Amino acid sequence: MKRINLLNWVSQLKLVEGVSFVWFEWRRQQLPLAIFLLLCLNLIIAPVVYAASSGTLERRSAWAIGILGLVTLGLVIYLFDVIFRPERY
Amino acid sequence: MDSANPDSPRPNRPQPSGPRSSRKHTPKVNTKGLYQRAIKDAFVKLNPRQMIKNPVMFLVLVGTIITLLVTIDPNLFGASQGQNPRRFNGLITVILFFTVVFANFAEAVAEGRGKAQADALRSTKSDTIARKILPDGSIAEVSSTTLHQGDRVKVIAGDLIPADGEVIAGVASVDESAITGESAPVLKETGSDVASSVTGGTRIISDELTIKITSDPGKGFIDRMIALVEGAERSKTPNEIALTVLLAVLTLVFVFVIVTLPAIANYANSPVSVAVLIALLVALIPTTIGGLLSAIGIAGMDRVAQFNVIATSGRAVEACGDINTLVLDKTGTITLGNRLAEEFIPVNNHSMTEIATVALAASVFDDTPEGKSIVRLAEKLGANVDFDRSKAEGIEFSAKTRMSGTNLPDGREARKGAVDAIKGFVRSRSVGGAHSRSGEITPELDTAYERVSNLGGTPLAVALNGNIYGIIYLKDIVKPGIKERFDQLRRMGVRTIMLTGDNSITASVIAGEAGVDDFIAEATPEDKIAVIQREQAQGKLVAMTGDGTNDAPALAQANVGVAMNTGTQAAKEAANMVDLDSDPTKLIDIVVIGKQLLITRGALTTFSIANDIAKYFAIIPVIFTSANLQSLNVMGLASTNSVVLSALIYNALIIPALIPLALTGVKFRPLTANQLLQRNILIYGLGGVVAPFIAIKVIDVVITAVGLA
Repeated sequence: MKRINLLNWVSQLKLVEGVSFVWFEWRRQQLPLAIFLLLCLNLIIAPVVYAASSGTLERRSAWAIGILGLVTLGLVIYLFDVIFRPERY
Repeated sequence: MDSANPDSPRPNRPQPSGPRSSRKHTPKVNTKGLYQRAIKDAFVKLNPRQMIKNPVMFLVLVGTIITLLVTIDPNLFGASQGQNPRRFNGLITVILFFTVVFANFAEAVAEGRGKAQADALRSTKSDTIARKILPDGSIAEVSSTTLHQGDRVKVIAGDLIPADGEVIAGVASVDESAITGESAPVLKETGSDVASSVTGGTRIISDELTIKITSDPGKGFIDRMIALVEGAERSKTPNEIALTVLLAVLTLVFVFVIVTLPAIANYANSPVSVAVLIALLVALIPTTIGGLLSAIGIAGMDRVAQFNVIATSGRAVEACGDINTLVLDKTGTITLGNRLAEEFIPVNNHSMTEIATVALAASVFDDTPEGKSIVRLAEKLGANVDFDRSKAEGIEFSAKTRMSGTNLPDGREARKGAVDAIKGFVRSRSVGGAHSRSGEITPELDTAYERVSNLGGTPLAVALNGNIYGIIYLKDIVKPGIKERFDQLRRMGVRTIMLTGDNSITASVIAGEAGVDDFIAEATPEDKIAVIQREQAQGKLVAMTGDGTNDAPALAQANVGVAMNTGTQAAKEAANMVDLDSDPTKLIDIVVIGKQLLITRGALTTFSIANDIAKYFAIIPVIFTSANLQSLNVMGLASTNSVVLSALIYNALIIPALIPLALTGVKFRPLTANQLLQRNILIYGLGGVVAPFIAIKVIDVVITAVGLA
């Protein structure tokens, strides 16, 4: 069996360059970043929704409602942006 | 510009023949396959990057995605209610999807028409081989696309002119039919205010010209118009931006309404599903105007292009609709450009034959329509040329001398021109002159001058050396129908100001006959800019036409400056529109197009918002039946599901139904702003409230009958 030197393997991957590449792509393609942040935020919101429903909602529905709320918030922010910077649209 | 001078010779300017309607779409626009391409583009435009530019329809798209999710899993946001929620949610998804597609289709049709117009314009531009004059004087054959501002090219008979430019040498006939539709060739020569600029894509049909290129590749007038009508790089106009903000505010308000509604619904014991909430949101936000807004704007640019006018920005077209004051030249705009000699009035005891003979002598070298008409009238009265024309010298008209004439072979000087100018000429020749005779400037002369002026004609004095022979009555004919057009403009709140170089008596007669609101007599080109600045200082928007280099500052100062295509490059650069037909009266048409654009946008906005109010009152009572709102269900709509589907179907279908209106524009009526407002509120406001109630009821009956809800 071939032995792998983990440290060498990580260095070969050029970890720092990889992270910077991901960061650079996130800045260029904002949709994946937005989806990631949405899901992260939902980690906080969904349990709150679930707790507030007093068991009438499934856990899955609480997650969906959390995401729906965040999408709605995103739309509100978008509409405010249209109102204040209409020339961009 | 020349009309500022009373006897200014406006060169022969061939006007496109036939009614304007028959000249629309020149060059011919190919609309074949327009709708097939528009259907394809409607789906391509579903790309979120494009959809995000239209906030209302972007919201509908997001709603469509959410309803698609609840179609796949009706219990996604909690336990679903009602029977067969998947089918109901699916129907909502399909209707919402088609609402977005229809809106995209409206925009794609308008863009398609614009692209067809652009293709037609582009067909006038072709990559040709140009003879570029190198710094050492030699000629190199290069592609026309490599020509830059400042390059000099030589074109000979049969060549296409490679780019926009200014004639710097030569005289030639140019066929401009490719861009104007007018088949009569136009004379181009250097140093002329009205014939020295040439447009790329036109063809030289005789002789040769040396042209200095005035635009870089892709930045000519045609290029700018192509970009504008294509709509690809179209930036929103100020009114469109204002309306986008209004729509975004309304949408935001309704988002807040819908977000807070579930709490109220639950309190009223009428829980509402997410799909119904989204359907309600889409029914409430102004989707009709949101879907048609860009189509209206693009169609407005298209209409201007159809009138053979090149607009350099959408802002200029829109500004036409807000114009308060029109500054118009008299000659060629209010009156028929070609003034004709009607009568000779002899003074100082001269006979009719004598004045005819001197007038003929002074006009033999005058090629203007006025000069030719004087020759015709003199010959009709029996006058003959009694000198050798080859040994005589023609004296051209100039704005400085304000007269023209002939130096005869025997040393005598025959002149005709503005009465003041001829008086000055006679005085200068009388001082110790051998030909002087006392009593030339008599009250009789002034009487004849006033008589002609009171008739609205232009008086030209005729003199031979120090002797005034009389007055030529140049009849100025007011264009038929111009008074009615000014009446229409006045009712619309547009003030008209006539500028003329004629004396104040002639000016007041013509002004009265034409029905202009104000006039400025004996005006110089500098007066134009002063008038514009005065009006603008009062907060008014001013439009004007011009063609000469001395008009350029005024064209730049005006809110809407329309340069004639036959005008100088300076005038065309300063203006924000160029009329390819070189018809000054078209300014009135352009103002009407601008107003039509604004009225259409206003009417459809009113209709859209009125629709939303009606849909709200149709849907809410049915949704909240548990809250005892059933009594408000005056139309007896069957159920929550049927009313939601009916409202959404109406909401989707009204967009394609209004596409023809958005593209052709609301029929223009010359009414005051108040009358227009009342009329639009009645038709589009009240109609917008009534139409959804009727349509929703009909659709509700149908879908209940077929068992869709």
